[in-house]
Amino acid sequence: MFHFSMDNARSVGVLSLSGDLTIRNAAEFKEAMANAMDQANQLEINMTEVERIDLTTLQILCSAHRTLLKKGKSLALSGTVPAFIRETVQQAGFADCAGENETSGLWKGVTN
Amino acid sequence: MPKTIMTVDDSSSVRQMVGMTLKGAGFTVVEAVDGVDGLNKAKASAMDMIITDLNMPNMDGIALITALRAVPSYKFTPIVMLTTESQATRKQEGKTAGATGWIVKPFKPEQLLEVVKKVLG
Amino acid sequence: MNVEIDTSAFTEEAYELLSELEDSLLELEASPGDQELISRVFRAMHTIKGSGAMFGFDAVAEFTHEVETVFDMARNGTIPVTKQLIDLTLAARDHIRALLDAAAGGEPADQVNANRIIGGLRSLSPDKKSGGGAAAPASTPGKAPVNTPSADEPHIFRIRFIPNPDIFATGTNPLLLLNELRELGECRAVAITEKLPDFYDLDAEVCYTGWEIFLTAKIGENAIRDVFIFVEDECELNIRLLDRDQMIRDQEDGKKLGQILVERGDVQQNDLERALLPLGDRLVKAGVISQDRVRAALTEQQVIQEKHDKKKTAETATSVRVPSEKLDSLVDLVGELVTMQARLNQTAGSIGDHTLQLIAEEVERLTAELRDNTMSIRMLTIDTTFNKFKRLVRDLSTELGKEIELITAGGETELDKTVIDQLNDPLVHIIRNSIDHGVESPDLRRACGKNPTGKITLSAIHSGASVLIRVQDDGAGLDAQRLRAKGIEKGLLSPDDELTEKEAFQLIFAAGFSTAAKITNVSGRGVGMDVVRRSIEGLRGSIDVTSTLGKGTTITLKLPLTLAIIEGLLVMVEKEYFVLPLAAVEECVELSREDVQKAHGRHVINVRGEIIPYIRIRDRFEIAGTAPDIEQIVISEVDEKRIGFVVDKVVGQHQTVIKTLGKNFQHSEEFSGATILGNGGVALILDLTKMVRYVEEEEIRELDVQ
Repeated sequence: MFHFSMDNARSVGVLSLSGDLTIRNAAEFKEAMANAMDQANQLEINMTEVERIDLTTLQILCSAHRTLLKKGKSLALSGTVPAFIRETVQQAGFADCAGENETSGLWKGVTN
Repeated sequence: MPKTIMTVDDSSSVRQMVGMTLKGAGFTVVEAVDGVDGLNKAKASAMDMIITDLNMPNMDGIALITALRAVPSYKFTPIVMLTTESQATRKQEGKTAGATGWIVKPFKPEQLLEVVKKVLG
Repeated sequence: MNVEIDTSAFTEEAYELLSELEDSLLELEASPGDQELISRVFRAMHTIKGSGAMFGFDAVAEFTHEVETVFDMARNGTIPVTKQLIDLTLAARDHIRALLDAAAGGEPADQVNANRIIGGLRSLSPDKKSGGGAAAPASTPGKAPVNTPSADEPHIFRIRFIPNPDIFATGTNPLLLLNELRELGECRAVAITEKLPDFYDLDAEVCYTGWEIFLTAKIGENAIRDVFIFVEDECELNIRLLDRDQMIRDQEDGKKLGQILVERGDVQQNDLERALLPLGDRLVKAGVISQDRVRAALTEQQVIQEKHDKKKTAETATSVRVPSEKLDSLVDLVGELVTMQARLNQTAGSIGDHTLQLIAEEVERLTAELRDNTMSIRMLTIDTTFNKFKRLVRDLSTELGKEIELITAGGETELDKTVIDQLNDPLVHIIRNSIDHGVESPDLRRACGKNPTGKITLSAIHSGASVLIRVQDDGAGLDAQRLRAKGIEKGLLSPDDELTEKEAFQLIFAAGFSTAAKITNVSGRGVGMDVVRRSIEGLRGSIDVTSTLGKGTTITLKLPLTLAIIEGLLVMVEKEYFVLPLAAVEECVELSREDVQKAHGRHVINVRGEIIPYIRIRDRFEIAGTAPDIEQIVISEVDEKRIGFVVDKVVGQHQTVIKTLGKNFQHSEEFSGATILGNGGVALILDLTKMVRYVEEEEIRELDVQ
């Protein structure tokens, strides 16, 4: 479900997510996020294998992104973001969220 | 993968109507005859949604909702109760116990499916 | 320097406005309290006046000004809308028309009449009225509150939805509620995440998010509340109808600067957002407002603007004015193209080059699309024609002392412009007849136990490739006995002729037949119905009458949808091609020598038990040669009878571009035109109705001779 690895060549941490990412395992997801955030200054989330998300997923990602930005760290998405996730982000009104400016928004360039 | 919905009711005709409607809409349906039966079946296998009557022998609907919410895997599962017009206070009790919504009896199959869509997506 | 201004744009518009004006006035007569109608009349007058002055039509402008002044008072409620006001305004409308006609080189307008109208109008205004005193304020029962949104227009709702933090604990998924809203209409949501804490303080199972949702939908507030029915007690919900609020705000405060700049096109919406975002940032930093709120406000503005733009586009894009000759030449060109395309198909087929055939097929598809499009451009709704008759019925019934109500239905039915243009006169004749001969006087109607107000219904409906136009009255109906007597008197039939009721009714279409006891101004001098019949047949249509004595008469016109291109059935006799209108064709059967012998010289064939008479095209047009052993009979419906047309060979369906034939062509009456085939040959288009009629007449004559 949550698999973390370090890409040492780029010194980037990659958190690969898969399956359902909903309130049922939101606490575990948050835990995995927290671990990943501790280990890498630059963090990438890969959601290619994710099958379901809900509001809790968006809240965790949004909050993590803001917190990292404040600390001068970064959070980005890697790999293909499934269409249903892009759609959910758009429909839930999170497309512009967590972006203090146009370049740093988590979902910028993903949703369009 | 089809989602599983459990219908809990002591009336076999209501269970049948709910079951037929949901199967027709592509859901997997588990039937339970009262609260105790329902709770046991819910613990035995994962349900995506539960539709329960309120007045039942052994364990009534309110007690079932309360018990289910105490089970970690059912903390956030949609639970819809079947009420009658006259049960306004029971409806409130149910909400307090953690019910997601309600369906007023008697209802038509379409109304049931509308509510399922509303809470389960 | 003398500059010639093209004034046709003004006159065209003015004529159109005048006809609208007439409709509005007649409607206003029925509901004098309708503010919207009063405003419409005022606006029409205002436009004619303004543009008239601009284009140098000073007489029109001056005269219209007088009318406008009085209508302005009606609009303000200073004077009531009365029959007198409407009568005068209708007369004024006619005078403006006369002024326009005069400017176009017609007869000069009647100045005495103009003075009478102006005098009449001026006397209506309260300060000119003898006896002074404050005029009674116009009753405005129909006045709608300004801010009531109309039901068929979508509204913009702003929905503030802030779920309680523990909403997940009841198994609720707020995103599903947003999905449900999206099913109601166009929906845009902005998440308000200002309460979302720092990651390390975040409880994954708590809801921190709220939304501002902008929903554009044709629904009421209750439909929105229904979505949130399960969570009423677990959220903060605030629904506001935006366009109404916005309207009031615009009126009170004037628009916001940014809004105005965007509307003026000085600033693009994106630029405005970019300009506002730093302000948002500053406000966020100052703790005044969250960034999400700024975003929500910008979205709100955008949604409203989009709706506004959409409305504007809808208003401006409704029509483009084009002279009808341009359309006619377009149709001609499309006709040529269809012919040329048939040739291309044939050539491609004979060359047998696959690539060329593919191209030919593509051209065929495009041509068909172009043809349908062009035809649809020429289609007009018939309501303009229908509306003209309101005035006719009103004026004529007043003149004759009758009370008649005109009901129209199916005004949205579309017909080819040419057909509509040529339909006016026949309909005038028919309606005049109904008013004059059909509907009885109020006293007589009362004596018959009928409603003293007569009813004429004018309706149009589609029926296959035709349109049926019906004029139905609830008057006296046709008297078959009287028609028969009249027919004998006029020498149209001999005293011992037997007539069915239907045949007797057909007499009204005979030349020189008039049943009215006295000749009136209204319904001509017996030249009516035969002329009508000829004009309708000239449009390749047909006319039919049904009637019940004492109950009323119905005249039905059956008209083709279009005159320029029809679907035809191409047939052959020897080397000659003919086209039968496909709409009339029912089936094709074989005719063998045996069948002919069985009929003992009579031209009939037994088709599944039904005896059907037939006409041999070969014999009819004296085509030399020998018929093949097995011929084909095209069975068609003509005047509600099944009749066969015998040909050598049925070639198939054919897109037929109709070209008219010269008058001196032999048998020309039996053809409605000719068409050019793909191989360059010519096919004659058979007018089945006329052909059958001629053949019948000839047979009767032959019988008489014998």
